[in-house]
Amino acid sequence: MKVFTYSKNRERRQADRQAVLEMLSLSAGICGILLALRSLPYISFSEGTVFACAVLVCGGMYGIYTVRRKWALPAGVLLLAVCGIAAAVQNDLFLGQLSAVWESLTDMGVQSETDATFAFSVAAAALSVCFFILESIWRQHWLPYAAVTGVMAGAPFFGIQIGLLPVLLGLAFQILFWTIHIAERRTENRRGAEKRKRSLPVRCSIFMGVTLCVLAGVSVVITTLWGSGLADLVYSGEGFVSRSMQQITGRAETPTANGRVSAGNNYHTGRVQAEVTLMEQPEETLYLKGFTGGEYIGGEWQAAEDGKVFLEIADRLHWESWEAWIGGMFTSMYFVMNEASAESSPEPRQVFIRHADESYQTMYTPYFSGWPDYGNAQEPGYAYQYYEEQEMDVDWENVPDEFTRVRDWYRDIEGAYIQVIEDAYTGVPEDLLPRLTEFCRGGEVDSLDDATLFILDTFRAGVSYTLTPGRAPLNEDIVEYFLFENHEGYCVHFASAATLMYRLLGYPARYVSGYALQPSDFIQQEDGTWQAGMTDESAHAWTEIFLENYGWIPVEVTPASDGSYNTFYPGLDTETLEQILSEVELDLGVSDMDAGAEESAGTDRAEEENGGMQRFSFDIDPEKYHDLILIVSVILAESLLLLPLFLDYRKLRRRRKEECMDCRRIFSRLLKLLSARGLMPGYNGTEEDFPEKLAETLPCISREEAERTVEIVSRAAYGYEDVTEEEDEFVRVIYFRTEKWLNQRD
Amino acid sequence: MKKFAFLALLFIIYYIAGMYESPALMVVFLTQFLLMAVMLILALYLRSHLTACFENKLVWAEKDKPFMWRLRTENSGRLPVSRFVMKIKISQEGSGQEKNRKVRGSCECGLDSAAFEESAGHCGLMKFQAVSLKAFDYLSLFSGSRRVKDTMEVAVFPGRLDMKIDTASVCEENEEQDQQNASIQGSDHGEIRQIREYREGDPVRHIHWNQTARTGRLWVKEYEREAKGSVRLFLDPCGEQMSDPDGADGFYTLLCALLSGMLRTVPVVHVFWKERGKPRISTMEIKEEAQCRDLLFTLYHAETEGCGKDGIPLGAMLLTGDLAWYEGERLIFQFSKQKLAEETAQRTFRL
Repeated sequence: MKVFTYSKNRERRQADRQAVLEMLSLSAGICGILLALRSLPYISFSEGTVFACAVLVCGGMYGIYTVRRKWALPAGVLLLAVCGIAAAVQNDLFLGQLSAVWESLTDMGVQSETDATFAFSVAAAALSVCFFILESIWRQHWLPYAAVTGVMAGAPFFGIQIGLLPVLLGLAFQILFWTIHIAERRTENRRGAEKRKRSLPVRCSIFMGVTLCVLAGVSVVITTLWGSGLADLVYSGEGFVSRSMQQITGRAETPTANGRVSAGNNYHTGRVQAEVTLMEQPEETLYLKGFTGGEYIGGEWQAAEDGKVFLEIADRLHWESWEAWIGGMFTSMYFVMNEASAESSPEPRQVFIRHADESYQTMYTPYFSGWPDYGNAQEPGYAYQYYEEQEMDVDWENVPDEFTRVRDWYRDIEGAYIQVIEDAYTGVPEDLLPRLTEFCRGGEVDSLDDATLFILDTFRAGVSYTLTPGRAPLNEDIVEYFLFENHEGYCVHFASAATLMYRLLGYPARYVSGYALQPSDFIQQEDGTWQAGMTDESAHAWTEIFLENYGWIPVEVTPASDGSYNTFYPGLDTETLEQILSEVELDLGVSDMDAGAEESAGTDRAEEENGGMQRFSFDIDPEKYHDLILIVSVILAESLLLLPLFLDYRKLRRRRKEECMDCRRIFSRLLKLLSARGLMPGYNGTEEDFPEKLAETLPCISREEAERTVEIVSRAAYGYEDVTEEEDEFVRVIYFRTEKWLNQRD
Repeated sequence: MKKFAFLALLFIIYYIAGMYESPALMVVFLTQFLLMAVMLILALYLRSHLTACFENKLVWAEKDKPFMWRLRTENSGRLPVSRFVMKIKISQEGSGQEKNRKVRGSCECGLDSAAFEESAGHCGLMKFQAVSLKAFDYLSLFSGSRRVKDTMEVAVFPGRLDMKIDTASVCEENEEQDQQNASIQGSDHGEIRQIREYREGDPVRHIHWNQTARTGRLWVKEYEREAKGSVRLFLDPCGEQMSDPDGADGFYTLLCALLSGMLRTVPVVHVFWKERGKPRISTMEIKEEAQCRDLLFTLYHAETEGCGKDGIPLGAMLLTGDLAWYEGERLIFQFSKQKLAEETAQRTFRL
């Protein structure tokens, strides 16, 4: 029989306490991950089942680990096999739910809610076993640590709004196991620790646990008070890096216009990318088109393919032979018509553009312009003749006689163009934008002005302008995220949203990116010209709509820095618009925008008042305590279920205690045992004939053994010499043999 | 390195928290950031309360076998130390070799002790010199370091080699002498062979009182009978081989084997050697095998020098650093350090 010493027993008790601590930490980690995943979009699961599964597995594994340490690994492997078998048996269900989870993480167009209780239960059980094996058997902390960090830090990338409880549970798991592993690696060959009630890892973990609680409390307060400022620091840092990178790589001086709808922040370097020179002072914002977006493919606009439109026009007008001319005619049509028709039309304006990097792959074209003039080789750059919007006054009837034939062609082209773009520039990928599609379907719009009003109403009620809206999740469309969740963005988001909304409301619209130069940006030069530096600060995106007699014209849907909208296009009654918008603003409570937008509008206003403090406030939702109650209930239920195991463990502990007893105590137990069974009444072990009687009563003990037992115990009680460990062990063997014999007899 | 990796991870979390405006992640970042500060303070606190020293200043070990030594720590603080690292310089005396070792441990509040294992490759004295003590926080991110000045000596003895030495002729001669002298109880025990300094255990009646009175130090008379009942072994631990640690190992191993072999047939072996700077020859009387280690320990500390074959009395034996074993002028055997174990095991050496 194995000899147990007091110190070994104490070590075992310490190990048991450590196992309890490890079980609590592991349960915290697993529950933290599950609570984080609970917020997965379009995925639901029965919390009671999944959490119970995880906690039961954690508790069960540590129960086995405490009682029979060697069984823990086989039991873990067995449980993993059970999980695998369960998944294999319910193959279709499991894979279906897993693919739903995957789609929820990656696909932007998921709309239907899926119940993934089975997949989550199996995964929770398997994860618990894996973490248990790694942490408590193989003592490898880095992989579970990385997994928990990955879930916590990766959640925002997938649009998961992670709460405070899961991150605190995850943090407790990470730090406590870290402490335990650091402390227990050094505990071998130590002497002083043997006298302690709690092992060193447990003592260190208790300190760390308390510290963590205090620090988490402090952090919550700091985040609530100054979270917004801390986030701004991040933006400042990122801005610094971004600007530095742009300047180092030279991108800061390259004019850029593309169809990418940025999912991040916008940082300006202020470097001049092109010089724009006008012959006379401008009176309107000069929009210079660099990119025109046709099809929206989720986060990006494809370049508008007017070639197809012109092909369609040629087909409709039966101008197949003149197909190549249509594009050229359409490009300068309104400029030429304005020049030819207006009675007192002003002289066309001239703009000269020179790129700083001398690269002219992309040309920036003003609205209502003619053909570009490329100048000469000595002076790089290009020029346009153009009219401002207010100068446009196309009169189809009032043209010189020699121009009537051309006018008729233009008229035919315009008519056909309007028909073709009804299809070409009203397409929206509705599967990618289910929420926006649904939202616009609810809009009652009868005219273009109504559509504009609806869009501006939506923007004014739900979104605000900022260059640092943060980053969008990977699995959400940036436009939907801007409108329905983040409620913050800049020109590309406003323009994209407005373009898509125009289209969903049935009006052709295109997304345009380029530069918008204000009249105030231009400074008069010594030679009388007006010059402005085209920097990335004037880079802009807007929506263009098609109007008869004007063609494509820009619609400014991005608010100014003060939040006001300077939206204008010919025919729009701005005064009425302002009036309606102000009425609508008062009537936000019945707006069609979803609840999130309403919340955001309120939040934004509060944010302005509180200096952005509310962005990092914590909502105390009593519903969230539901999980805690659930977990506590599960633990209680599990305790009840595992009660038989614990009772068996108690028995085992009693046995271990007996194995450590000295000969006098175990002899006393022997007497009690005999007395309880009604054997040898009246004997207390001091009688002379006790050994003889004992041998007679218990056939499992010889007389010599009985005499030696009594002699050892007497010596231990009254003798001068101490008994040896072997003698203690001899008495213990006698006791256990007696106990076994009596149990068999009964 | 770990703290930088941790800090980098924290800043990634901070970046994500800021970019996605996640208050929960901001709390995670702040909590861990503050925890780092607490860990730094904790490391300094633990450092200021932790002291460590060698539990034993002298440890005996056997060559090529692991030996245990203990480090005693005292933590006067209220928190246990989950990890400390003590940097120790280990040098082998005479070889000039020095290596650094870091021992890691943990300690509770108050006194604590931890055992460590080491092995020695060569006979001689090893010096363990504590250099610094680092106390780490509970996440091992930061450490507080302090200088430690403590030394421990490890005397490394050779492993046991069996050597068969037949000293029958010597013993017969000694027995005859003993019988002759046995009848003269209380006599002078025969002719005085030499006078030497008193050593503990010498009979008081052998003290040479005249010489003692003259010099002020205790001197004893050594009689011819005593000499004949024993073997005299002179040591000449010089030569090229002794400068090599393997050569020295061979010498000490052979010396131990010789002594234990002789002590099986001879009651006493007198071992002599010459120390640098001392006018007289040093000696030690070996009566039992356990004393071999005392002799070696003395030799390890002594700065020995060659005495040469000429300075050896007739009949005495000599063991040189080149592993040559003489009886007087006669070379009994020339051992080699490579085959020492075979040479000692396979032969019976007759004196």
